[in-house]
Amino acid sequence: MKKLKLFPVFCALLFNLHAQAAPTPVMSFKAQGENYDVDKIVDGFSAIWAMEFLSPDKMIFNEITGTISTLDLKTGVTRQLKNPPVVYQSGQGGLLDVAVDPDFNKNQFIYVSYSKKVGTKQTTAMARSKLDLATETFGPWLDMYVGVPALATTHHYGSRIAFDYNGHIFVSQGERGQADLAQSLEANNGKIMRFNMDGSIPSDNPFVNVPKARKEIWSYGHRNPQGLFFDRTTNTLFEQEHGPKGGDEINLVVKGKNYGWPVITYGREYSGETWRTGESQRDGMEQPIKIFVPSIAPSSLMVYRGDTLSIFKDKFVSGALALEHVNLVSVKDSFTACEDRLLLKLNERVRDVKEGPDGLVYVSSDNGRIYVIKRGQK
Amino acid sequence: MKKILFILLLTIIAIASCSRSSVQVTHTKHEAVAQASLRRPAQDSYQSCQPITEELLIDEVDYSKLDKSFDNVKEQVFKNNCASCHFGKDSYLPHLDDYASTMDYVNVQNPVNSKLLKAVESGKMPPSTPLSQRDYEGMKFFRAWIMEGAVK
Repeated sequence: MKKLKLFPVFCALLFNLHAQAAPTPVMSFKAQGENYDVDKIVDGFSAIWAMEFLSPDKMIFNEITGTISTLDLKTGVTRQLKNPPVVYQSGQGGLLDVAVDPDFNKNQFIYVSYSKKVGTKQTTAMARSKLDLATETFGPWLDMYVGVPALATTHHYGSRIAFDYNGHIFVSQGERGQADLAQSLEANNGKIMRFNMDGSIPSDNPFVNVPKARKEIWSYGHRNPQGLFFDRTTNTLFEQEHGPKGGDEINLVVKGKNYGWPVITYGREYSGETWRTGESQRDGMEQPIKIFVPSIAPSSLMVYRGDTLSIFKDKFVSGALALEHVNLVSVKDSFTACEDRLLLKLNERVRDVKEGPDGLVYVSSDNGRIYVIKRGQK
Repeated sequence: MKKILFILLLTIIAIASCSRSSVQVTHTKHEAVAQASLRRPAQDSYQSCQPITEELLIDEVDYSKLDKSFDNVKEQVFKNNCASCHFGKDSYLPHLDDYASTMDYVNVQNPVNSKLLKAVESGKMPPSTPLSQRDYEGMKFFRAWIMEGAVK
């Protein structure tokens, strides 16, 4: 009888063991005398565009194709969530960023940026929904932002979302292949927008009193911003964008400032010819704090403020698509500062990088995998 | 005669003055471009901060042990190199996660004329780094699959 009582416990243990997907060590690297290990914790998806944390043990991530899933970091089990937003996947578009409300435990809000069909054209949009974790289902999706104008092109959508933890949400949008629109305050193309958390426009946005200007614009003159990070340590918004050949940038984003595209750039035409006027500086236009020559094709950006992994400490961390690595740049450095390039041997387009609540660095790739970088065992 | 010489002299002075000002304008423009060029960094300004040694802990794929089937090409070659744009039913691009769709770009009668093979061997696809550089053995495996009939 005693044995029978223990049977369910045995089954439960057995089940748990089966449910645990053991991380696969795929790489180690050594820098500054310290060892680091890289484990693969998710595989078998299409391009994983974004990752966020719902809790210390649970991650939410999305594929460009439009699915959103959770990952239990203790068991390795992934669960696909029901009722994701309807997105238009074509070219560089699809389901782009996913963001968890800073007060998620109270309001259960999840935000996404995505490419949206508007008539026969498409644009970048941001939507919000409530996630019911018990039923693993999203409620109705409400568009908080739909960029104008929609265009027939299928590239340079951006887009990333960031919070300032003071009641505001930022979303970035690329110029959608119409470079000159990045300088027009009447269009959302090539801009970073700022909203109140309920989607309304803050009264202290820089262009609220400018006739014809889009009131949600916070900064302009961007090309294709696929990195956006609010650094709570310095209360600073940083942005990273794809430039033309040799013109990728990290910018410190300031209210109302013009970041120059397509008037000034450090990049060139893809043919190698000088870009338009050849100017890289002009009065009234901001300079990047870091440029990448050659281009790395950056996707995602963060500043690592943890203490667990010393090689990342106080550095910009971004994914590199074309040059396929995790890129590190000191926050204090500028322009042609040196870089650390990690995970080169994986040969994967790195799509997103995130610092976990555990201080480890999580990396997703266009190969549908998620890796975690941790202190080495050696 | 003196009048004519005087007018000629004035004309020469005027032309010289105009041409000097024109040179000066051109010079200023060149200077601006030169200054802009000076600010632009060298073509490749990448510098490593520190030596980092990486070691792969996973084995390379042994293609010689794999059947030349669509499933293996999809799993080992397409998934690692093409999935971000060519997997997913909603994509308007060729669907390389589906055998029938893939075969729209394969010419079984004349394999070397297959659009898919040409796109890859020309280095056009994948767009960032040619497959031959990313995965040379995978490239050979993919080519052999097409040349041997592209079976499912």
